[in-house]
Parts: sequence; C-alpha cells; structure tokens
Amino acid sequence: MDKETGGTGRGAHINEAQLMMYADGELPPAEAELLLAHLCLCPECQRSFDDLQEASRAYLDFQEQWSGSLPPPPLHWMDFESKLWEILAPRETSPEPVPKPVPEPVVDRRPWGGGLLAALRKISVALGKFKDSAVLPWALSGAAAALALAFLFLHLPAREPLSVDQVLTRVEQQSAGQEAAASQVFYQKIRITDSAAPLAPVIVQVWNDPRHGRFREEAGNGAPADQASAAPGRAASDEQPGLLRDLHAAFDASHLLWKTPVSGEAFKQWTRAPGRKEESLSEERLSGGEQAYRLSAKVADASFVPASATPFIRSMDLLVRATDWHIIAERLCVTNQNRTHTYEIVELEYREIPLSQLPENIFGAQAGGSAPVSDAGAVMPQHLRASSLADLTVEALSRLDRTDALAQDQIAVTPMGSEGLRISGTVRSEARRAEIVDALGSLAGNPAVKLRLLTAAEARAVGAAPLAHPMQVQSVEVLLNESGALSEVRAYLSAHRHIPEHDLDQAADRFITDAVDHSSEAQLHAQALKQIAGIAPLFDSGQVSPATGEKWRALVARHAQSSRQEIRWLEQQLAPVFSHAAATEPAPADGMAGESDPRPAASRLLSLATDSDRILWQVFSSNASPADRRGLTDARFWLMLREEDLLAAHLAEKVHP
Amino acid sequence: MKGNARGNLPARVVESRIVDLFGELRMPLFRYLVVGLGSAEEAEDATQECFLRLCRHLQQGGEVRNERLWLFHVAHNLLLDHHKSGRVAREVFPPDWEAFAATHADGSPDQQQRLLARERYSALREAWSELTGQQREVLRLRDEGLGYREIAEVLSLNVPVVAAHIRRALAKMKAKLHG
Repeated sequence: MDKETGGTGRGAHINEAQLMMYADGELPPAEAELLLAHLCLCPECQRSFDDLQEASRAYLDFQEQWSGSLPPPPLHWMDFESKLWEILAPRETSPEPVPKPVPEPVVDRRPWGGGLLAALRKISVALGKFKDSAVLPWALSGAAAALALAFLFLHLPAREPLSVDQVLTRVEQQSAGQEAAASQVFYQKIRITDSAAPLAPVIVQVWNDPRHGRFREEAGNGAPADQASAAPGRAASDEQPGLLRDLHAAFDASHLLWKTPVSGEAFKQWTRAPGRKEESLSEERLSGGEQAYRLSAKVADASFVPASATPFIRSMDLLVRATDWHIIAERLCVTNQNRTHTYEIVELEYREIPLSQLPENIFGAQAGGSAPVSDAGAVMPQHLRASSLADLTVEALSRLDRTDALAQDQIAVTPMGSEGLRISGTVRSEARRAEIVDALGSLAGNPAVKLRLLTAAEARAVGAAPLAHPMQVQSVEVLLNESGALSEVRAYLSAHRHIPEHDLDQAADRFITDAVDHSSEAQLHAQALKQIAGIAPLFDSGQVSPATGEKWRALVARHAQSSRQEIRWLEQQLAPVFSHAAATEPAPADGMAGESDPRPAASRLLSLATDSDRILWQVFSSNASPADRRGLTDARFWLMLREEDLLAAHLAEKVHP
Repeated sequence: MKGNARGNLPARVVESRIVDLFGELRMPLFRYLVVGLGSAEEAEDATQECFLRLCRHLQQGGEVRNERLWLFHVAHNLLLDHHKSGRVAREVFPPDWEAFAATHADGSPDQQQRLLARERYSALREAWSELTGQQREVLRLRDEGLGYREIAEVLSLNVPVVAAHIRRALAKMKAKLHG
C-alpha cells in the first residue's frame, strides 16, 4: 500500500501523506472537501483511506492502553519550586536575619500543585513589597533568600495566609484534575434555601459529563433522598420550582453559566465582570473540625445596580473545604424587582460515577456511549434575551478561538434566536473533540447551547460530511516535491539566497511548503473572520455589554491581523521569485470605507483568500498546465493580495459592533 | 506571551507565567519524555528542565511565540541529547501482559476476548519497538494533541514529512496486527 513508491498512477490517486492528513483532519476545508469528493468516486483511494482509519484506530487503542499504565512522576515535582526560585531569586535581598522556616498554613494532600503555587505566590508578593520599599541590595544565595522573603512575608501587617485568588486557583486545579481524570460523570446533590421561605428548600440533582459535554439538572422538593444512580424522571422541565427559576434568571442576567451552580468558575466570572467587587477571605472551622475558607465578594458600588428589573447579584460567598479544595456551600444575595433574597446552597452529596455504572437515559441519549450531543433540554430557559444570546455567542466564539477551533476546525457557531446557540461541525478526532469541549468549559453544559460535534469518522458514518464552510476549489492533486513552479523557485534560491546546489531541492521544497502554508493559513483566518463577523446582527439590539463588544472586537482584530501577516508574507516572499513587484497601485475601490457592518468585508476577504490560495496551489501543483503556472506572474494575483490586505486592515481597525 | 526585547521581564511576570504553564503542560511533557527516556525519574527531571530553560529564556528577555511548542521543542532536544549520549532507553511499557491485565482487571470478563486483546496488544507493542525513533516521536506528539504543523515545528520537519512518518508508522503497526 505504499503508493508513493508504487510508481504508477501518481497523478490519478491521492498522495498517501495527504490522505493521512485528511484522516487526521489536517487538511484545510477546501482541500478536504475535494479529497472527499475524490474518495467517493475512487474505490482504490477509499480502500487506502479505510486502511488508514483502521490503523489509526488500532494505534489509538494501543496508545490508550499503555498510556494508562505509565508510571507517575516519582517525586511529584517536589523540587521544582526551589529550582525555579534559584533562577528567579534576585541578587538583591534583605539584611534581615533569618529566623526559622515558615510552615505552610494548610496541608495540601494532593501530591503536587497547591503547595508549590501558594509558596511561589507568597514569595512573589513579598518580593513586590520589597522592590517598592527600595531596600538596599544584599547578596544572599537561593535558599536563604527564599527564607528571608518568607520571613518578611509573615511580618507584613495583617495579611491573610492565602488570597482569594490562591484559594480559587486550588479549587480550579482540583476540579480540572478530576475532570481530566477519567471518563466519569460528576453527580452533585444540593439543597437550596431561600431566606424568604426557609421551610421550602429545593433539592437539585445535577449530572455533569464534561467529557462529552452533557449535563442534566433535576429539581425536587426536598422529599427523602432518591437514589443518585436511579434514572430520573422526565417531567422536570415544566415544573421547575420558582426558586430555581429565579436563580437561573439571576445567573443568566449576570451572564454566568449555570452548570454546577456551586463552582469557582461562576464566582470568578462574576467577580471579574464589570463593576468593582470587594473580596475577602476568612478561615472557618467546619463542624467536624476541618479547616475551610470562606470566599466572599460583594458589589462595592451601589450605583452599579442597573435600573432595569433584571435580577441582580449583590454578593456571592463560597465555602471551600481546605482538605480537598472542594466547594461545599454557597450563599447568593440577589435583588429581584426590589426584593432581596438570600439563597443558601449546600452540597448534600457529591459523587463521581464511572460511565459504566451510569444508568441509561440519564442524559436522554445513550449514556456512556460516544454520543457527543448535549442534551440538557430540561432546563432550557423560557426565552433567551437578545443581549444574553450575544454574550453567549461571543463567549463561545472566544473560547473556541482559544483552542484555535475557529480557524482550524470546521465548526459553525449559529445563534438561533430564542432557541439558543448551536455549535456544530466536524472535528478530526475524539481527542480534538475533547479538547474543544474542554475549551468550551461550562458552555458545553449550558442548556442554551446545542453542541453537536462529530469526528470525521462519525460524519462519514452517518453518510453526510457536514462541512461547515463549503468552499470552491478546483484542484487538489498537489505533490509538493514535484511542483510545477519548482524551477523558478530553485533559480531564485540559487541566485539570491546562494543556496548550494546539493541543498537546493530541500530548500525549494521547504520554500514551497511555506508558501502553501501561509496561503492556507490566510484562508483559515479569513474563514474564522467570516464566522466571527457573521454574528454582527446580534449587536443590533444595542443591549450588548461593553465587555462582550470588546471581546468580539478583539477576536476580529486578532484574525484580521493574522490574515494580514500571512498575506504580507506571501507578497514579500513570492514577489521576487516571480519577478513581480508586489502591486503598489490601490486595489479596486471596495466601497467598504464607511462600512461598519463587517460581513461584506469578511465575505469578500474569504472569497479572495480562497481564490488566491487556489492560484497558488495550481502554480505549485505537479499537474499545473502552462496556463496555470502563469498565475503568479499575472498582475491580478497581486491585486488580489493587495485587496485582501486592505480588507483585513479595514476589519482590524474600522469595525465596531 | 509578549517578549520584551529591550529589558528583562520582572521576575513576578515570568514566575506567574511559568507556574501557569507548568500546571498546564507538565503532564503532557512528562508523558512525551517518559516514553523516550524510559525512566520516570529522568522524565520528571527533564520535564522540569524544560520549564527552567523557558524561565531563563524569558527572564533574559527572550521572545517565545508559542510556549507549548517551545517546551516540546526543548524536550525533543533533550531526548536527542540523551540518545546521543549513548544511553539505551529502557522499556517503559508494562513488563508483561499479566501486569498489564492486573491493572485493568475490570476489563472484559470473557476469557476468549482477553486472549485476543492480549495478542493484539503484544503485536502492537512489538510493532512499536520496530518503529524508527522519529516515527515514534511523531506519533507521541500526535498523541499529545499536537497538529501536524506543530509537530513539524517541534521536530524541524516539513508538514508532508510529518504526514508521511505518521502514515508509515501506522501502516507498520497495522501490518503487524494482521501479519
């Protein structure tokens, strides 16, 4: 099956390396689509592809088996802290005597992480103080310096042993560790009491499967505990208790995600949101004598209360158990239509249920199967307000962008009015899907988000390859090492870069690969831009928070600037090779100058980027006809690049939501 | 992260960046290294070394465009050094199937299936040991979720070469399975 050395039919079948790239979702969408089209017609390539898929699966199996049995780091990173500090410790330090080592305030039972972080942060706080007070530099070596700083730290007036952020970091690491740990579902049972009606608590059960982005919430009225593992009834949606509905509304109004209500993430999001909050941290003892931390945050400025009748969170408290950094209770103070409620949320039960032990139908679909669909209809809000849909959409885009999914994967983010948000598409592998679900974080479990991500294999299995961004390209048979324009590239490299003859082949190969890379990259950024720009109408309602607008702008700017970089690279590197000065005359008037709607510019950019990419591929293809090869000496190509650059610049600078 | 070409970054900035990255990437790097080095102790050491090098680099005002790739690249170089130094990598896979089966006791209860799985595993394991060093590295980086372009950057290869390595490695593994 080694077709590259097979000799015959080179132009007719797909290069195996490309087939591999396709199987791993590594081809740009345009080429992927063409390749797929070829696969459907060519049984031989289809067989090769199936072989590759099978091999890939076999390897994945194998890899999963043994990676689970790799030894852990034996020292649990214990000495990293001191090594890092040896590098970072400044030469200057204090003349203070060194009294004694300072014990950690809390014993961290996890094998790594928390203790180290706390110590590092503490030292850095002390260091900051130090620099401000401009103490004379004294030379002390590593360990002694650390001790001296730690000593100083303890003598700073009235400082908490840990900060709110430090506790949050530990909580996050703890839960991230759990989520990453294995295929299991987190079950949580909580009791919510409203101070206005203390006798009518609501018991809420939550099943959260972060790995597959599934989430289920079910509320009851405090009747005797039912079995966690028993399948819940299906009637919850319409009879959601008012108290829970109010809390959902309060979270919704603050743009917080109600997945696990009791979570460090919601706390963090809320305290970071606009409007200054006062944060504090205190130590408490639980009834069993265990140590705990109470994180409190409240709105500092009363004038920040919005005039509208939307519920408004005034304060939020978390109670964190210090032994395992688990949040066990939360208190929320919410003002809703001139009435203030205090909600006490207490965790009654917390379990990690292996997927294998999860009863069927918990998530409405095949529990424990590979169904990637988020089925959380039970808690769908009655109607999503436009502003929160915009916030949600931009948040989703921005999280997807963090893992580069907007450019690299075929994912469409579609706001669907009162239906919420749909995130759908095809990704290259299970692992990539997990990565994306991970990046979406709590959004993946948000009831307003419909998540449907198929792997390339699944998409093929269901018969349709739902390409989110269909594009038109005419040629795909590219063999980089037999490029049509190879001679020009070689001549240029030899004459202008003085590459010796014996390295020319490799250098030319690399040059062409780079050019094709940059061009695909430009196209991918254009694709991301079109996606991001496409949601602009959501801003028309005028109710979008400034933070969301800013975030969206940042996304547009990032991809627009990246596009420009790629386009510039192409202009600068290719122009001399093809003896063509990069076009200097302005591109045809685009009529975008005063345009604030980014969609026309983004569409045009994508179509130009697709066209110029196609020309480039044609020029570098082995089966390039003489006419194709002229592509890069034709002024039209350079004008296209020019216009792309202008459009990207326009998007980067001029567009406002 | 933005490098600062003119002056050194403040220790606090470097420290918090390194601590964040360490939290995020130490296990992927460790897994990558432990296979190549064959020893958990050495892998732990080498993992730390990657972060310490990054720390020095940043502290001296060096620029890093993508820390993850930078770290993997350093890890790759450490592996190269290790192999150049002539030390032979020990086997890090479970020493035998029994030990492996013991850790996965809740697997398939069916004797026949277990036997099949066992044969399959040893065939793949054998195939793995017959791969070239570069093929193994490419696969290991792919395991850690790096894209072809990223793998190419870490190993200083071209993307098509990476694709070819992966294709050949997988084909070898599969051939062993059926042969």
